[in-house]
Amino acid sequence: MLVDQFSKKVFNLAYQFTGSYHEAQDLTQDIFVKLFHSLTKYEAGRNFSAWLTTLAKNHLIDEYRRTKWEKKNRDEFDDRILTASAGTSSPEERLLQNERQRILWGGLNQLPADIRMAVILKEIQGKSYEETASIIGVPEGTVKSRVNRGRLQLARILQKKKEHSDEM
Amino acid sequence: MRCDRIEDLLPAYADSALDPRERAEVEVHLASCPACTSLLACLRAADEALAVFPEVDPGTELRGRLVSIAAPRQKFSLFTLLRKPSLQPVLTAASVLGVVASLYLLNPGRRDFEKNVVRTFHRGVGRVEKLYAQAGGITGSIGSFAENLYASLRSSNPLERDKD
Repeated sequence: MLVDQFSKKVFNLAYQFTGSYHEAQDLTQDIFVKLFHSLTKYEAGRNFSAWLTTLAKNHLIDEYRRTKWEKKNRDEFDDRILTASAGTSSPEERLLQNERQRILWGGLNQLPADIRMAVILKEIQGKSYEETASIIGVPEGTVKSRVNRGRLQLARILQKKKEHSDEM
Repeated sequence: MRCDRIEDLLPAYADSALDPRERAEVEVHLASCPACTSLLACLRAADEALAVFPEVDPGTELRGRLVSIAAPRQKFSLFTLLRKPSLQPVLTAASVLGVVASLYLLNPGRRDFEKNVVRTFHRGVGRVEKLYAQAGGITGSIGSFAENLYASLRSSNPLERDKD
């Protein structure tokens, strides 16, 4: 069933992009309403997952432009995410990784929407440059440039936090 | 090379995607620049943390909402309408009428049948008219008989005769 197979994927894309659990729930619902209305437009033989991700990405970007989420705060990097990530080897490593992820989670909000989407698809969701370019609808070179700018910006945020904590 | 130029090359350097000349330039710079070396370490740490970013469960409440969207909607369908039990007698009557009409219209002896019907109709009309004319004659006879009877009765009554 479509809901079982794709709801988690769509929800996580929305959650990572918006940073708000409840906003992501509402957006996931909107995306599925759109999906069920657009199923007739799906061409058999196309990669369904990529097609759905493109539909979700378009909706998220449209809503972003309409509501300007960048002005809103993201949810705290809370228990939901920490529970889900409790798989790393040692407690110290897990703590360090959680701290980095908490900083990056907040840092995603500082990235412009197009760069944020490229970073989420390529770096978090693990898609290839080719898949990401196809989903976003831009050339592969543009995706590489966006992803690298996003990675660099997040690295600077981590570096700044690190320097700040070293000073203390 | 300046730090800002090196910083732009760091993501490609971390991915081992630089050509040998650029790679050598970056390595020379990193050997003498702690800030860029630190940024490269943070870039690698960020990449690693993003790659294992956890997926969050959307929750059963959202799943319920999504399943209700996915449930098939009642769309208008002629087939569904025709299957309604209340329409069955109407459809049966229409079918019977259709069969009778097709038997009549497709019958090769239809012309003869129609002629017979017309002939029978006119014959019936002629008979009715004849009966009507006969009924008129009988009425006239009854009228004159009544008058004669009345006159004979009067003539045989002495009181009536005196009056005259």
